[in-house]
Amino acid sequence: MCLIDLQLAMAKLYTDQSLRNNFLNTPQLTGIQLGLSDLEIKQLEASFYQINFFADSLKNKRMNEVTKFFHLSYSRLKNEFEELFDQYALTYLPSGIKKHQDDSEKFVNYINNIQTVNEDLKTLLNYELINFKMYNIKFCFKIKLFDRYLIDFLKDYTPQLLSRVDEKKIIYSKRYCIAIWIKFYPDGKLWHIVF
Amino acid sequence: MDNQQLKELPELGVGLGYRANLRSEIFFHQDKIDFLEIIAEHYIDMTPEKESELELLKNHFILIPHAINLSLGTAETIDQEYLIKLAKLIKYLNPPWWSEHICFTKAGGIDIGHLSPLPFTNEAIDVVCNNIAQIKKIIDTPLILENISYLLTLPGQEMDESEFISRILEKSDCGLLLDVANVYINSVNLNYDPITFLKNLPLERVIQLHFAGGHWYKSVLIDSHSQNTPDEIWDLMKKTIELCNPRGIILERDENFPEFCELLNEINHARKIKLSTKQCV
Repeated sequence: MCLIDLQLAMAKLYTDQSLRNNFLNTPQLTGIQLGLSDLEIKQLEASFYQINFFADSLKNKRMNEVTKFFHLSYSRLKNEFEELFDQYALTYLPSGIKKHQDDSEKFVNYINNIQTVNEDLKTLLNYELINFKMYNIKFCFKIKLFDRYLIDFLKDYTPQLLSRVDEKKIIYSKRYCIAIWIKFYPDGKLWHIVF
Repeated sequence: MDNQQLKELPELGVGLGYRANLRSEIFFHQDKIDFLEIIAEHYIDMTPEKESELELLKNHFILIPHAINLSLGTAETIDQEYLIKLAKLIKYLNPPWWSEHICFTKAGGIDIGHLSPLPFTNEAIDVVCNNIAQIKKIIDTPLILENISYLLTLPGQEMDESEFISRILEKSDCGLLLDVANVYINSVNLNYDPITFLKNLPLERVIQLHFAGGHWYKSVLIDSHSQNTPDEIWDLMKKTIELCNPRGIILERDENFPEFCELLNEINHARKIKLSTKQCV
């Protein structure tokens, strides 16, 4: 098999779990479909543990990169986050220079479309995604109404952000909050408040 | 790069792989860090924040761009858009050299997302060298190539890894970024002698070293850059420096960050190894 075909077969095996399962269960048939010779099938079959190990490390690396965009969500709801990311990772493979950012956005879209996901996690993920985007654009003025009370989450992590928030309001207003982001200059400071 | 060109590359000392979360500590301890290596991909299509960061870094340190997704070993054509952006970054930084890995990361439109080993074949050597020739037409800054850690040997092997790397370096006329941690990790996972492996490489081409600590997972030693450098890798680094003359040494740390003084201690330890070894030699 020439290098271009071997690399394509390996890229598919590394990134497609159902294909790996097929290869494990029916190596000869799946191998032929991938264009592998009998000898190559035998060699890869013998190395299946290593292929799977590498594939797992790719998924873990993806999740590790995505968690960098969602510190709050991940630290608050780690187990649920990991479980959902495992499900999501089967549905999409990011590419390109900004693939981790792309992966993060697609992950939030995926979560938003699942009815059963914890609403706290959805709120935090959406807040953090907007926050990241606003931080990285040249100019912004954005107001967003969140239907869950973010401040309870945020105050544990960013007390300085909430220093001007009246604590009494936190006690009595549990349903909505408003987040505002403003940036006037490309390298200027991002003004952000949640109340 | 012939031997004369290799000899002319400057001595950079011992530095650190730049990570944004270390920024303030790096600037606070600027006098203890000789140079920085930056992940090139982080500074392509930059946000305003990254542009400011790069300028700040450039004004205070020598920066070596370390590319991770050019996919030198891909049998398809190199991604031209990526290459042009990378060339622009390297031109802006004007470093003494830049680096990439001997691996492939893309195939058939699939971005694998990590460094994947190549089969140790003549065809793969030709592919890597043809890609490098194409790159050299656009980027004239010296390129050095890094050995990767891997678990899987792909079918069709025609030679061992040291011969594969050596022939690529000779044919493409590139320097070597020798990742000492990767040599050690591969020697453990694949059960070979790291010193024999080292001695089979063209060590006169070594320009830079990487070192780091990994962790064990399911009986496999992982190159995670997540732990302090273990004694075995320090020993291997010492033996490596006895055999060659690296112009720069970089500590890599990506996870499980310790107090910054621990990173500085490791940088200082590497510096001492280099000085004492060279004095002995």
